[in-house]
Amino acid sequence: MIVRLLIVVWLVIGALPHAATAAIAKYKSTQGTETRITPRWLYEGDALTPDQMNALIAELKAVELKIDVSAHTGRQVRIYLQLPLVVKGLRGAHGLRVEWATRGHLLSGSVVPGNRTLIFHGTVMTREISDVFDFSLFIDSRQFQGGLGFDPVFEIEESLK
Amino acid sequence: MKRLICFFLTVMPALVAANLAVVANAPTQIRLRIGATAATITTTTVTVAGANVGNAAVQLMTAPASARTGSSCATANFVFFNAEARATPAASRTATLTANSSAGMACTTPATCGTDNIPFTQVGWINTPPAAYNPATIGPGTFSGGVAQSIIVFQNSNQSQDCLRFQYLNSNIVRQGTYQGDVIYTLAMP
Repeated sequence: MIVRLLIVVWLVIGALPHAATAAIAKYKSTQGTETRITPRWLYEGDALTPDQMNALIAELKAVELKIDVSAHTGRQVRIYLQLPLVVKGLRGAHGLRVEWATRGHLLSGSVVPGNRTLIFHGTVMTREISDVFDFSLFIDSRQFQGGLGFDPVFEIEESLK
Repeated sequence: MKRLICFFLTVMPALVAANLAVVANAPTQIRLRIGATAATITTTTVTVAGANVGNAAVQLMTAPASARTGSSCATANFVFFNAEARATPAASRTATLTANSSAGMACTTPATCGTDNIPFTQVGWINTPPAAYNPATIGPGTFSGGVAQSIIVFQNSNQSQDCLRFQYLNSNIVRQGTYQGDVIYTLAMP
């Protein structure tokens, strides 16, 4: 009897969800595509460090993004904002850091190319999740080759539970 | 009997991955500070004792403290130079700092030196650049007396920070008096 009980427990543990499926979600911007931003130099002064000397900031304010989560309605998901490792117009991935602040229920955060940051964790109740983002792109001009494409990716991870 | 064959050709738009935003080139920016900040012209001075005039013993010039205010030039009598050239992409443009020393130093005490003029070829400098980031530094030198003497050339996005101590070379015998002249520096990044 004891042996059988142990086996049952083992089976239950084996069935616990520990994996998830990931998908790239489409999104729409209310500002249309390819908004052109002119960056500005972040620091001014007579005695700048090399990082300060070459620090650029490009700001993209009040962008409403609508993320299509229709395929995940009723499911528990995690949504990440991800940046591709290779960014058009950037020589090296370490030349960019993106920060954002949201005005709604999605999480604010920051990310560098090749990484992702959680912006939502919960059950999907609607077909779209939207929020207004204020993006700040911190660019190292030494890595900037011109025409830098900012192309965030929204990755949805759905629990198998 | 004729048969018509209709050909329909539909050209689909190319699928282009659009970005949310595209960051354009940054505005070009050059900054130049020579000595004191704002509109103040820094004056360096030297007094040569009569017995030493023209003996080729280099005479170090003095400069006011304002010539290095807020900079990392720590030593008295040095003049802070900061030239910055910012543009994108990096290393795509060349900045040049030139000096116009063609006017020389004119006698301001005509009673003793008349209309004599000491050429700026009698003035040189040494450089003790600050420890801060400094990819390009001005080498020691002497004014050429020309209108556009190249002092330093460097690429964007870079800067040159320098602490210059000017010196009078004292190789000419000149008449007693006070001599004064301006050197005009220009930073350009065409």
